Amino acid sequence: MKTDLWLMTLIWALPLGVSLAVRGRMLDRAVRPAAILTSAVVVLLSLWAFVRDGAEHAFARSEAVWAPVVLGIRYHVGIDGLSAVLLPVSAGLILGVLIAAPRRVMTSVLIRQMLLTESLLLGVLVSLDLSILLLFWIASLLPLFGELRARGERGGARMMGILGVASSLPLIGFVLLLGVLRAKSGAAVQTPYDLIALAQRQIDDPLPSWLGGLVMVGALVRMGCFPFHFWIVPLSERGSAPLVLTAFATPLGLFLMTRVMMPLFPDLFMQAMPLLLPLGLLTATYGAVLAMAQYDLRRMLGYFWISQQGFLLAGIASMNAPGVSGALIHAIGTVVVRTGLALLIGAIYARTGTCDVRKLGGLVRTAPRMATGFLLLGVAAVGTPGTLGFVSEDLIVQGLLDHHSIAAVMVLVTTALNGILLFLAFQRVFLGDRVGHSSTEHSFPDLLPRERWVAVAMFGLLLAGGLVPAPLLAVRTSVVDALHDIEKPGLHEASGEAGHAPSTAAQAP
Amino acid sequence: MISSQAIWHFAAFAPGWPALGALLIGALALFQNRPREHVVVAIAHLALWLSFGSVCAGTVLWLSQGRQPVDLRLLDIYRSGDYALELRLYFDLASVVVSMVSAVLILATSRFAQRYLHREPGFVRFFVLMLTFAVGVLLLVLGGSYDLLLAGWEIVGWTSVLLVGFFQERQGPVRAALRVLVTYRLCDIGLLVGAVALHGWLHSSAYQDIFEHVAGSHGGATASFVGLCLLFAAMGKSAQIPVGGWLPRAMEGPTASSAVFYGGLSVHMGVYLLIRSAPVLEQAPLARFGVLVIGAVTAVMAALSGQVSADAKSGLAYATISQVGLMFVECALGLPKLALLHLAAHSLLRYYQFLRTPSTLQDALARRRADGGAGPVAVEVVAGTETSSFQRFLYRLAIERFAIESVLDRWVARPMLAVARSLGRREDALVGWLMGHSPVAKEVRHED
Repeated sequence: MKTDLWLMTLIWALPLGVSLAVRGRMLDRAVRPAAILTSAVVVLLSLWAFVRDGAEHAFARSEAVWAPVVLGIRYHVGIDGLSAVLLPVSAGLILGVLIAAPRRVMTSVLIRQMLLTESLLLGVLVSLDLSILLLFWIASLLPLFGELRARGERGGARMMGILGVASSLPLIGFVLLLGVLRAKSGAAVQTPYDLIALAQRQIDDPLPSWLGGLVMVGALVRMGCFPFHFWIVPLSERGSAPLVLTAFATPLGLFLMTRVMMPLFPDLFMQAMPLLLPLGLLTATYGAVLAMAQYDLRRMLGYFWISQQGFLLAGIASMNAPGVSGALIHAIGTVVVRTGLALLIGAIYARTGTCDVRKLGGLVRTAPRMATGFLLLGVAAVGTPGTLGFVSEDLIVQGLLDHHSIAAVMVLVTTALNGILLFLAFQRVFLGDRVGHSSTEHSFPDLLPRERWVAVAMFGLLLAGGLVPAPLLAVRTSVVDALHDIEKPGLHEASGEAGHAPSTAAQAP
Repeated sequence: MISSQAIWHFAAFAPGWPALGALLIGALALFQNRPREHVVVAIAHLALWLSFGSVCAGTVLWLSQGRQPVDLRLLDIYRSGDYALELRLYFDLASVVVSMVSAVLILATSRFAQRYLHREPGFVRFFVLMLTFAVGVLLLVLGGSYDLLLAGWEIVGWTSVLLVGFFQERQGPVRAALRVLVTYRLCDIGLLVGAVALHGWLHSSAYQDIFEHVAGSHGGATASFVGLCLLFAAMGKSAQIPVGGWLPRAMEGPTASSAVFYGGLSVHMGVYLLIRSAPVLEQAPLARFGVLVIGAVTAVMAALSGQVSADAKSGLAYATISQVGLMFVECALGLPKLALLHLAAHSLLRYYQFLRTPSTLQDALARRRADGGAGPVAVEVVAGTETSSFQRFLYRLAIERFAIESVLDRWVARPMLAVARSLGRREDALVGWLMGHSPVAKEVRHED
């Protein structure tokens, strides 16, 4: 049996196994240590996979040729430069949440749900069969939905349901129609959903563009781009923070775009660019402006998150190497910043019972380390030199510069607004006079060691990525290389390669 | 024998030493609640002396090599496709002079603050911020491209904001810090857009390439646009009208930082940007006219406001703004070398004056004693004296700081917030409808 296959399988199956195994009242106390240990092992396995396969296309090494084919579906997993980075980052963030989240809210049920969600998210990242990817995709939303329902949070559960339907229905339609079309095409394809087989298909065997439109809608909903952003703020506010952070610890919308849409529907991508770019800019500006008007830190962070999704879309829509590289890196930076800030906001909520900035103030007196952590993460979030955000935003702007200079300017304006927003939040919560819950001297303890070290690790990651970004860019080269064919409009039409996929998968041995 | 290449590399590390120092002190603060003051000071001094040594090495080498501009390309920080962010430094008259002044003033500030801030709760924070500021200034001044200038510019901005709000338990400094931040962030857009437009025009952001190509190009409207963008950025950093209201408020910070930031260095960085961009401004008569008008108007208005300031620090702040306005005029008239001389001399003078402000009363009494004066200070009665209506009008305008801030608040900040709140209400209504208007449920808590 191939090592890579075992490795990929273990990465997603281990958290699933532990979440199912650690049950019963007797084991309640052991759940959290077991979950932390499991997550740590998954991080190590992901790092091993990153080192082994991150710089090359190792899909064939992990192909389970022996696996049975049922209804055209076959178990096929693997990673490339795209998923190799996301695996350890996502696993690491979930580990951070498990360590740093307030113990009072970490019930054994919640921890099991977190492990289950982790397993399903990582499953999406390693899947190379579209139908299996879809199964993981849909299932990854279910634990959060179940938690909201169990807690009687009907509004949140309803919103989660809307998100699930809106992001999954187009993909279900896509997979079903793809199966039908592949069966009708006459090509004797045994595995119609296999991403590598799809990418390597003959050039006279195109996929219709409208089919890709379904993938695009699913991805845009999951990203939370305007006008599909409606779910982000309510879930940030109403969901149990550790589980919400786990469920969205991976930028799955962007992943779907780069894993499925860009390689399989390059022409659609070219056609949709005039729509995607303004949509990205609108999302970025809308999120930034609305965030300014919020008093609740969780809602503010939710709108900030929406704004960042706009940056990702604008970078991807630039359709050139710097822009796409920038978007892929920004996705990582954003998710790290959001998780870090959300953990700090969670710590404030656990200590005061409120996230309303009007009821907070002067916390720096008793919690200087928390204030420093909030400030550093906030500064890193808005493209300050020396952090990963600077690299990604610079690349996105450079990507937009030549053909969309107005868009580049809008990105810069939005970045400025986001900077003001985060400092304003910092000022209201940590500086100035003590008010409300922070008015007594010893009522607000500083970060606990476990919280502090998680915040340090997150900022360290952003700092290291900002000071030495070359390795991160290098592993993403494979994804960006796939753009070279897309960048030349008309090439496909001229050569009749309408459905040819210049993907990373196409280069697999 | 040490090769000149090795010395250049040592010189290029000028911004690197304070960065290492800041990281080291930051790491210490992570492990200890309050690192010992003498350890912090030792690290800061070592870093700043090494940085000063690097700047001196670069200066000596530049002088010995015929005082021609040196474009030092070190490495690609990152590369993607055809684009690369290069680490390249540029040594010429402007960068050598300003970097020397900066290194000296920051070193002097470090010595001053060692005693001035002794046992202050923010002692460690001050030194970390000052070292970070040194990184920003040296990167801004020595960087060989607008990309690096921008990086340094941002770092200088953030550290300035945090030092204005140094006394973080008081509302005044914190509000002042927010105002500085808003001004900086909005005006920085000018630099960002200018750099973007410059790149689109000349396909490079490196000074060497730009200076080579700009002379022969007919920029026309593009050159004017770039020039106006750079002017906007310079206005923010150098506190020119109408965005200069932040400088007198910035005096809320500790004296040491007021001296080095707002008397000495930070406020002059806008002038440095104009000096650095002189070849671009030569191609943009409209932008030069804009620089002239802004500089001249600011010089007059700040001088008037300075006359009616009731405290020494604010008076000095307005005097600084006024002089910087004159530097803008010099840049507009095509006299960058004069502006550079003015900048260096003014930095040193103001730095000293700001450091002396806490002793203003003592100095005044000492002067009176030296003059043989004694007894209480005479108060000049102005009421009832003959003043023209124009003088009264000017006095009113000056004391209200020409009402610029209230206009900006009323016509820019408030409408923007109103739009945001209105959009927020509509969004909440839509989301509430989607969720069936159900209330927020309580979080489950672990009972142990």
